[in-house]
Amino acid sequence: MAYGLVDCNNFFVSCERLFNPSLNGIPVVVLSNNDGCVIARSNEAKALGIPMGCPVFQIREHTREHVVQLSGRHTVYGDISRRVMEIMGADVENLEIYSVDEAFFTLPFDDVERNHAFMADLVRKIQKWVGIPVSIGFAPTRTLAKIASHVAKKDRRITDGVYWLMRPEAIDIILRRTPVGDVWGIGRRLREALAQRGVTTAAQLAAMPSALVRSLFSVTTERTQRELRGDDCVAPSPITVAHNSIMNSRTFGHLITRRREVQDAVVVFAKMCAKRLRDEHAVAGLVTVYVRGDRYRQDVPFYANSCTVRLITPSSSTNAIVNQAMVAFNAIWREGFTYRKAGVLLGDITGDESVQLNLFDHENHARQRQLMQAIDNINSHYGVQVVTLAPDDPAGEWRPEHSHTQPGSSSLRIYTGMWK
Amino acid sequence: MDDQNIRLDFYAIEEESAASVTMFEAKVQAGFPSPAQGMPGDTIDLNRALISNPAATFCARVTGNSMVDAGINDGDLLIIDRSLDPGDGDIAVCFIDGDFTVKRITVKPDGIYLVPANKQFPAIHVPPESHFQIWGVVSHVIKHTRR
Repeated sequence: MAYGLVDCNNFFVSCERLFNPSLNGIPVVVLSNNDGCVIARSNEAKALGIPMGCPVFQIREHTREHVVQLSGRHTVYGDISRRVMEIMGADVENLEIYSVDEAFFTLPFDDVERNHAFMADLVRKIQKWVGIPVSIGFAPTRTLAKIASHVAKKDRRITDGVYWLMRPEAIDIILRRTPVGDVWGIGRRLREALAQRGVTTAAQLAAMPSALVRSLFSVTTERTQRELRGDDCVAPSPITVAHNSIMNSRTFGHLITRRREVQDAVVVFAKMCAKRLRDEHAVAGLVTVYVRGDRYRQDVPFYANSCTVRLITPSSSTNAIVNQAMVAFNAIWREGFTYRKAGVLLGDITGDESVQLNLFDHENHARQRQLMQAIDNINSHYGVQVVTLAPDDPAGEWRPEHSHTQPGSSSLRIYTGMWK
Repeated sequence: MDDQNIRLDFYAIEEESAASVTMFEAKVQAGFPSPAQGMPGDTIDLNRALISNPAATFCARVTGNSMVDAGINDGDLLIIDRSLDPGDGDIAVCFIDGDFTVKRITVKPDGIYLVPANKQFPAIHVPPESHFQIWGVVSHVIKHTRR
């Protein structure tokens, strides 16, 4: 078993450079909309020592005047991200979209060399088709795949953008060179705590006894540590895990070929899952959509795939969950095949009190929750779906782009005809 | 703005809306229409007809008139398919010396030329060391026929 991670290099800057190639080769930063903090840096800007998250006024003046500052255009980045994920989703299986610019997947072949050649082609394809440079790392665990993708990015001229970390000796060499703070899941505070114990490299963390890591820090840190050793344990593939998840799926009565029919089914499943979540006062962090044809039919080509999207902030809002389900669905939908089954699965479920808000997430979660509560109350009072979010509109068109560009703005539609 | 160049306003493509238009089976000749032909046949989805690879397709609006003789006028909409390999004779959106331009690519023994389709403008020879990029091949042009 091995995982791949595709990571878009300096994603927001790369998107800006696509539409303005004169930004190539010069220091560029993209700023957050409200507070003017650096949320993306070109390599040249990194070389000037501009840190991530830094407010623009803190950059020294004589540095600042050499740097092109752009305000983020998140609709554009969303569109480009969708294209990258669509290309990935067409060529790999079990794509898990982890954020706007990175996704895990399982490798298509058993043979390392074959995988390498295939991935190098993918890197070239994404660069040509969408104009975005990406790096791909592959390794026995997600945590190691992430480190491998960093190597692929840094030594781009040697690696063709692809780096594999499979042999134990190679893993050992790279972990010695990797600062512990660069490991996925090791934040600033953890890095400082580890430094106090003399642990500064990923190799040193990997060498610590697991029980000690757990007792000093947490189960999560222990998992990270075991992943560095090659044990696959961070967020196991959501499709194979039944507990701590909510699933809704259906086998269709006949083979379906129309996109619209499958998509409508996925929307309904996503809504039912979101309702279940709210009933249990829980939130989900992962939304998986899968579609599959009929393996036993010899007369039609078989296709099956799944895609997982990570929510920036875990949520139980119908709006958020349907949106992400549509992102996943769009990544895996293939025209020209026949479909027997589709399903939605929510993973990474926690109680809704423990939600950590994300820095880059602009949705108003408290209001979302109130809105959902109000809708659920009205619907349970009248016993039917009196009030629903616009995508349910049986006569209207379901356009994910709208909800994509204006998060949280789904309009309420009240069907007065239902009132008795 | 220099007429040689085009300003590119890029558009995201809405793929979800299926615009099915009934297609007439008969080839439309630029002569007298034959009354016997024109039975409504299949429907055509314009998205599918114009976009074969959505992930790689971008739209841009043309400003300028250096390509009028190739049927590309000011205000026309270009469909650009970046997955196509550019070749001799293709019309492509290029980036040269800090500007986007749409030109016909012509390969000659002494190098690549960007050839306008308007006698008022000279062909541009692409020096080997210049910052030059073929951004994408133009696969279709959408134009208003009423001005």
